[in-house]
Amino acid sequence: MTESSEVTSETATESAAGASDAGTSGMSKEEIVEKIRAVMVDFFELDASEITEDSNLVEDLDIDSIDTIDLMIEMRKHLDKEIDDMALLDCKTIGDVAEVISKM
Amino acid sequence: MPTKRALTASLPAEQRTSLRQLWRIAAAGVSYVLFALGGVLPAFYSLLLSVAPLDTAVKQQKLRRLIAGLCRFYIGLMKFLGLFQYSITDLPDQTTRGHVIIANHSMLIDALFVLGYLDNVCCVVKASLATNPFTRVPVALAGYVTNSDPKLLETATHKLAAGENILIFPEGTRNSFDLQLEFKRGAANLAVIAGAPLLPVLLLCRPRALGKGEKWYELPAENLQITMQCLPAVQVENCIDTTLPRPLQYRRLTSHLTNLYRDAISQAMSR
Repeated sequence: MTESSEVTSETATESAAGASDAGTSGMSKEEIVEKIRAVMVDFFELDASEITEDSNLVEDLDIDSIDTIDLMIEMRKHLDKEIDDMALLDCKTIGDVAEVISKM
Repeated sequence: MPTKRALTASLPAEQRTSLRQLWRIAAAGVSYVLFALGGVLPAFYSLLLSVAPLDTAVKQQKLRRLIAGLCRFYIGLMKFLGLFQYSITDLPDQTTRGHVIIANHSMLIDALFVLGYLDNVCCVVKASLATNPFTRVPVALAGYVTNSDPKLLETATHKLAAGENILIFPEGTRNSFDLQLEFKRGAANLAVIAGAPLLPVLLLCRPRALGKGEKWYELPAENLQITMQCLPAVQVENCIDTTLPRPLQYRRLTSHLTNLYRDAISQAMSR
């Protein structure tokens, strides 16, 4: 499912993923995974150790399509790149999400 | 001349039970056939409405009223045929608007009660109904949304803002036992994003019947008693911290609603 621009997260935790807005230029996939992990710990109350590159979004982390969009809205605040929500809807694992972001 | 009651009363208890069960199965069969035939009525009415010089909103309202009337007719028919008794309590007034209506889902005919007795209800229907030649026009004219619509959340949010009530069964499918209550987050997602209140509807059938995987003729020998009770509306801001990130709000609200139903069902069972 998609949402309109008016359906935006206004309550996102600003501290998630640290205060860095350095973007993904020159960032390794592992560094992007680390940023995703930080946001997800705050957003979904997950244990950081549960979130690995191989973690399946739906089966392991109970993240659905609406969560993915909220996650991306928050990631945009911390990375200096536009992130296409639709491209992320096909992602199965955290590694897939990091891969898509790194190529944008 | 002996009456039917006198004749059956003279039969042994086992035969009386078996005759009654045969009657109930026949009555259920008649009800389902009439239900299938009655499905043509909204389709036919939709075709008439589609060419009528009326505003889309008026057409939608007229069709929803017909669907509500049909649902009440089927409920009355099944009661008349002796399939169940029912009671409906705490219905909200007709001015209830912009609510996410949620209901637990244990039996095949749950939607008949909600659509029949609550006003201005928009359903989220299976995608196949929007392409089926018989249901395509009624689904579109009634303003129902399909679960495969990529803009489902956006559309539902607009409908709530316009005063329509959106019906969601949070369990997604019929449960296997009353306290199973494995709620998905869809209803909470919508309520949080739209900032809409929820109207919880409690539906119970004693003994359980018409459940998941059961055939229409697999009816318990005991008389069925169905109850529909509307619980007080839930204001999102009164039960969760709305300053939390939205994904946490979805989860907290889903958990709150699950507990609300668990308490209400446990209370009803203990009566």
